[in-house]
Amino acid sequence: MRLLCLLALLLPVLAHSLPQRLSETPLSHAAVLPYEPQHQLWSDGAHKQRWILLPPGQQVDARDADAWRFPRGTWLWKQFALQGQPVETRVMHLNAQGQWEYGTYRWQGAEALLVSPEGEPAHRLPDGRAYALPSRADCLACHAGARSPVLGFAAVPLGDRLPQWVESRLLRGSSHRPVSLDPAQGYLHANCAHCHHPQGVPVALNLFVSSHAGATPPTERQRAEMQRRMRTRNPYAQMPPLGTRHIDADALALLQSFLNPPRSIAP
Amino acid sequence: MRAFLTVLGLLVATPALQAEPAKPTQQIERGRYLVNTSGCMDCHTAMKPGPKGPERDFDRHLAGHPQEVQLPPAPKLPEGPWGVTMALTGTAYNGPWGTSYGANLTPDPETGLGRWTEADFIATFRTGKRMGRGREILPPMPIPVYKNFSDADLKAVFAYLRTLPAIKNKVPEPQPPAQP
Repeated sequence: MRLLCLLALLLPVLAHSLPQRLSETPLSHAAVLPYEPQHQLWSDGAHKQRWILLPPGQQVDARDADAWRFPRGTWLWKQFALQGQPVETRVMHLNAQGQWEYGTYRWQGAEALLVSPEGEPAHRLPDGRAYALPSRADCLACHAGARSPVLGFAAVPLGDRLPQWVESRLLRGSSHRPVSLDPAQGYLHANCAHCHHPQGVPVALNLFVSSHAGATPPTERQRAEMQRRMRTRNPYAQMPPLGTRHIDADALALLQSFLNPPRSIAP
Repeated sequence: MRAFLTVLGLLVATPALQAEPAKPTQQIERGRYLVNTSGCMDCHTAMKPGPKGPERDFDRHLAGHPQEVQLPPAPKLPEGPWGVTMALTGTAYNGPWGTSYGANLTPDPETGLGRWTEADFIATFRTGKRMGRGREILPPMPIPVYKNFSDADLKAVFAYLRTLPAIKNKVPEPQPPAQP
């Protein structure tokens, strides 16, 4: 599985087959549904909105709660806004050949245009701030190696919002019970587990909360290393390695007791 | 008679019990050739003082920057066309990107590539990121050149690296450029 996902990274950066304009994607289709995960990826404080469109009459195969499978023709959008203004809308589309297509659209006025597969790492916002628009390789870096390429519309990240999706009858084979998580565990799953899962990066740190096997508590040494990397934005040491340029101070406060558990005193 | 047969049996069985070293395969030999002709040891096998002057430390072949060699900050160069410095070990470089160190390419699981898969290795070269999804691979690692290796050649290099003695050597993390 990991080999197949990583081999996706080796595909040459092809010209996009996604449409050039966001308005040419089916985002305005009547069947598009908004969703919001309970446990969310940190994106430097950007306000994010998400939508999903399934082909008519199709369902998500949710029998494996750790790796949902989506029908061909699925679309997902994720819009990033700063100070009320949309900056980019990222798109995933599972095409007729069963391949996930990834892209992002940069907002210019009332329209959003497809960014080249190389991304725009040195993009500037109107107020002069730096904002990196991801390349296709950046998309693959997080999505291709995960248990399922769709990271936010999944059992654990949806959390207490899962039952509404089960009732919507858009999920086939899903348990009706949401995975109840400590917020700290949920944060780490949403921000780290797309790489740090048992079939993921070759690092002995598993932050994936599995519906089959639960979670693996990090060791004391691992917790110290996690803190060190979460507290820096040195690009060579930070975690996550991409997608964020600012420390998530709220998360560090949330994770304070998780990352610094009280030592038990032996009798 | 029983004793004789026992001894004979042991004499016959002993070679089978002693595991023979794996015979070099064509792929491993191709990998050895590529590593020995592509300049890998320039940055990944440290120089050390020898009886006839500096020499490669082949006892720690391809194990990267020696962990016990702690370097002071690199000298600040004046503005101008000369912009990179190299430590005398040949395994640490400073330039506009900051300071980078030759990685440990031996199969040690904690400090080298022991846990990596072939796919992780190939993805590193194809994307210029560690394992295809981590931090950027920094200069002077010539990713723009080595990314042109064929899959077969990268697999051969990886196969050869797996045959090296695993050496525990924790190479320092790279540092970003010093803030002005």
